[in-house]
Amino acid sequence: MAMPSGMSRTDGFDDAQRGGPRRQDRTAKASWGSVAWAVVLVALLVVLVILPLATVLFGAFWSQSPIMPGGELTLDNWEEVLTSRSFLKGVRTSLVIGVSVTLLCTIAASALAFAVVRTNLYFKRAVEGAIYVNLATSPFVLATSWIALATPHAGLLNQLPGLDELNISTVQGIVFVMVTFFVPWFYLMVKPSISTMDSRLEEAAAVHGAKPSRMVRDVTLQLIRPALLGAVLLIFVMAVDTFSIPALLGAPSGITVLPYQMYAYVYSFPAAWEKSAVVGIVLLVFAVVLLLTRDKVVGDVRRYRIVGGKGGAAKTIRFPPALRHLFSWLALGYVVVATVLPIVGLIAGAFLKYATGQGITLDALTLQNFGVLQNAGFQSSFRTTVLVMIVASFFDVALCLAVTILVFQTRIRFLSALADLLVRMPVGIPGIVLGAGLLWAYVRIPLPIYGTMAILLIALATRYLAQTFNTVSSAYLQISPELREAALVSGAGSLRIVRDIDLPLMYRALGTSLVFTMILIGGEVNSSVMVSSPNASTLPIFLFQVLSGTGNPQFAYVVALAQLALVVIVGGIAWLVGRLFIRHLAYGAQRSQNV
Amino acid sequence: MTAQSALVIDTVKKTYDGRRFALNGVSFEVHQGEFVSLLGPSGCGKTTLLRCIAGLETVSGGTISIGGRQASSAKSSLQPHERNVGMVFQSYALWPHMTVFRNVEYPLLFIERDGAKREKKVSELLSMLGLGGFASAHPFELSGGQQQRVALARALIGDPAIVLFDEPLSNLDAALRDSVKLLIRSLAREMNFTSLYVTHDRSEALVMSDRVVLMNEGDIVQIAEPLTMFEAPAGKFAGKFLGEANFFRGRILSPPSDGLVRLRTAEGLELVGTTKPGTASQNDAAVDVMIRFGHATPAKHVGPGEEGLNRFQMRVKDVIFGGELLQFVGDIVSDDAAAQPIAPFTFISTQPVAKVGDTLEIAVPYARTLVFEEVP
Repeated sequence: MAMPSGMSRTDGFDDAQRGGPRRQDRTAKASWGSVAWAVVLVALLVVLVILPLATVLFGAFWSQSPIMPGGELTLDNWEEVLTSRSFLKGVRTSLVIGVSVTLLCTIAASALAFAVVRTNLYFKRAVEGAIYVNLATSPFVLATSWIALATPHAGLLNQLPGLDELNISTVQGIVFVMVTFFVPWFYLMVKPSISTMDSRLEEAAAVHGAKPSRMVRDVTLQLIRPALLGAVLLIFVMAVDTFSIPALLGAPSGITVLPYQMYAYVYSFPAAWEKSAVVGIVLLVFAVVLLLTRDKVVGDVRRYRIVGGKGGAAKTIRFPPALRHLFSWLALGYVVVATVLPIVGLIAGAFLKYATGQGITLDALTLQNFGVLQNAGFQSSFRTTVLVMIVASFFDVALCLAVTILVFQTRIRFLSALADLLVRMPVGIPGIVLGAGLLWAYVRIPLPIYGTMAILLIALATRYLAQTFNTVSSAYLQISPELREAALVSGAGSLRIVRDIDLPLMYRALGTSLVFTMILIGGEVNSSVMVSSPNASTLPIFLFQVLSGTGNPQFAYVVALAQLALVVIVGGIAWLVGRLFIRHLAYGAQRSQNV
Repeated sequence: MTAQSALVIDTVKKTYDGRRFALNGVSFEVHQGEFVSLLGPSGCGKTTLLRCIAGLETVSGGTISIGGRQASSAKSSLQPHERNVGMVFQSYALWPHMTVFRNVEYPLLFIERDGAKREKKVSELLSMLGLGGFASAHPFELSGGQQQRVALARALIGDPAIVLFDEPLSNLDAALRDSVKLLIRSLAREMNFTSLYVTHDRSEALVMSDRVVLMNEGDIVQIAEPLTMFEAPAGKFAGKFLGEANFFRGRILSPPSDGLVRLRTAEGLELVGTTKPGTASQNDAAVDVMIRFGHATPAKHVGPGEEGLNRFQMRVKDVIFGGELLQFVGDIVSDDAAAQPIAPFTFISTQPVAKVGDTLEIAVPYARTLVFEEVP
C-alpha cells in the first residue's frame, strides 16, 4: 500500500519546510553502525504498523475467528457483510454523518480562522483559546457533557423554559458534537495558510485592476486552496473513522456507524471477528483512497509558496462597527455553545443527585457522585491513563526523533524511505482497525501482551505516530543544515551533534509535540476500545463502560471531569516546565534562526 | 606536491546520480599562507568543490590532500572532523543557543582537554578580533559584522591547515561588505592563515586574493593573480566575468605577428588586437574582441605622435553618472559624412569629456584590444 509523503499533512503545520533544506550527500557510503540502527527502527515500525494491518487483511479472508482452530481462505465473509442490511445502513449513516460534519466544520472553522487572523473582531484571543480547549477535550468527554445537557427531558438544557425537545442521541446531535470536536483540527490546518498569506499579493491584484470580489476569488482563495482542500478531505476521513462520539450517543438509539459495527461484531455473541475485519478493510480502503486523492488534489505545495521579497503580514480587514459587533458576537456565541456549555454541563451534572425532569433545586445538589473516585475500577484506569500517556508519548517523540534523523541525516536511501513511509501510515489507518488488528495479532502471538497494558501501549503509541512525526520532523527541518555542518567541521561526531546542536534547538518544539501527543493519547478511544481489558483500561474506556452499562450516569460526569482535570494538569506542568527550564535554553533561538 | 602546499586538488570529479557532472576534473594548489578565491557564477561547481574539501560531500574521482595528507578520493574519505579545516558558512551558522565564547570554544573541545588553556586561547582570539566584550553575548545580540567575526574566530581557533569561506559576505549590506572584505584580507596577512574563499562577486575575489581560480560549468577557466586575470583574461568568459567591456565578433584578416593581429568585426570595423602567445589564428578564423570600458579614451587626450592605437569615431547618446566614474554610452559611427551608427560602444572616464550628442574620436591601444578564439 503506497502512502506518499503528502499523507503526512495531517495537521498542515509544516508543509512549507519540506524539501527546503538540502539533504546530506547520499553518494557517500553509510557506516555499518548506522545501517544496523536503521534496520532496528524499520523493524520496530513494521511491528507497530504493518502487523495489525496484515492481520486485519488476513482476517477478512479467513473463515474463522482467530481464536478458533482451523479455518480456510474464503470470500464468504465479504458476501455476508456487504449484502447485509445493517452494513448498508451503516454505510449510509457514516456517509451522512461524515459529509455533514465536514461541511459544517469547513464553514465554521474557516470563518473563525479568517475572522481571527484577518479581521478586527473583538475577543479574538478568547475565541481562539476556546477553540483550542476543544482540541484538548477528548471526544468522550464532549459527548458525555452533551448527554448531561441534552438528554431528552432530563437534560439540563431541557429544563430551561421553552426548551424541552433537545435530543443529543440523534444523527443531528451526533453531527453537532462531532463538529465541535473537529473544528479545532480544521482550524489548525487552515490557520497557517491564512496567517502567512502576504496581502501584498492581494494588493497586486487590486492595483492591476481586480475588483475586491474578483481579488478574493483569484488570489485569496487560490492561495489557501491547498490547505482548505487538504483539511476538508482529512476531516472527512477522520469523521467517518470516528468510533467514540457516535458509539456513545448513537448506539443506544440504534444509530450505528461503520466503526461501531466493527466493534459490535466482536462484542456480539457469537463473536464474528472475520466480519468485523471486512468492515475494517472497507474503512481502510476508504481512508487510503481519500488521502491519496488529497495528495493529488493538493498538488505541489511549492506552487503556492510565496516568491521573492520580504514577507508582508496579512492585512487586517476592518469591518464597520455594526458588522464588527455582529460577527464578534456570533464567534463568541459559537465558543459559548461549543466550549463553555459542555464544561458547565459536566460540572452541573457532577453535583446533581439524579437527572429529573423537574427543574434544578438546591435539594438536588450533592457530593455523593464523587464517591466514584473511590471505585477500584476508576482508580486503576486513572493510574493506567497517566502511565500510558507518559510512556506512549515519550516513546513516540523519541521514535519520531530517531526516524527523523534517519530520514534526513543518514545516507541509507532505501531504509530511510521505508521508515518515512511507515511512520506516516497510521494517519490512514482508522483507529478501530488498528485496535482490532493488534488484538487479533497478539491473541496468537505467545507473548505476555494480549490482555495486558502492553497491548494498550502499543495501540496508543502507534495511533498518533504520524502526527507526532510531523511536528518533530518539521522542528528538525527548521534547523539550518549549516548549523550541523559547522559542528561537523568543528570535530563533533553524529551523536555529539544531536546532543549539542539538534536537541537544544528543538527542546521547545519537542515539548509542544510531547504535550500534544500526550493529550491526544489521554483522550483516545477509537484504537484502545478494542484492546483494553479489565486489567488494562483507560479513563475514557471506563467512562464508556459506565455510560453503556447500568451504573449511575451521574458518575460519568465525575469521571469526565477527572479526565478534563488530567488535561489541565498536563497543560499546567508543561507550562511550568516551559517557563522554568526551556525558556532560557531556547532563548533567542527563533530570532537568530534566520541569521 | 610541494612541501608548502596546504591544499592540493588533483583532477577532482563529482557527479550526481552518476550522470550530471558538477566537477569535470579540476586541479590546483593552495600554498601555505596564501589567499585563493574560487570565483564563478552560481552553479559553476565552486561550492560543491568547497564542500568536498570540507568533507561534507565525497568526490567521484581524483584526490584532495590537506596539509600533505590525502583527505578525499573516490575510494576513501576522511570525516570532516579528521581534516583539520576551519569553515565560515554563508549563513555564519552560529549556534543560537550558545554564547559567543561557547561558539568559538566548540572546535577546541575536541582538541584541547585543558579548560584553562581553552579559555585563554578563545579570549585572546576574541580580543584580537575586537570581540573581547561580547564573550557572554548570544549571537542574535550581535550585529551582522560582529557575527561574521565570531564565525571567523570559530574557523580559526583550531589552527586549521586551511580556512574555507563559503560566500560569507553575501548576507551583509554593501557598506559593511567593503569593510569586512578589508578586515579578512588584513587578518589573513597578519595571522598568516591559508584561505580558500568561494564567491561569485568579482570585486571580493579581486580585492582579497593572492590568486583567483575562475570556474565555469565544472571546469577551471583560468588561474591567475587578480590583476593578470583582469588585464589578460584567458577568454571571453573570463573577460566578461571579471569586468565590464565592449565585445565584438570578427574574423582574422592577417596572421599574427609579434602577438598582433589584424581583424574585421562583423559590423565592418577594422581593428588591430593582441592575441595570447601560442594562439594559432588562421586567416578568416572567427574571433571575439574585447575592449574594457576603462581602456578606451578620447583621442584628444592621447599624445599626438602616439603609435599602436585603434582609432574610430563615436557618437555619445547618454552620459551616466555612476558615483566616481562617468559612463559614456553611444555608437561607433562610420567615418564618412553620413556618420552611420555601426556598433554600440561604451567607455568610462573620471572627467566629463563629452556631452550627449557629441561625436568624438576614440583611441584604444592595440595592447588593450584583446582577441580571443571564438568558443563554439
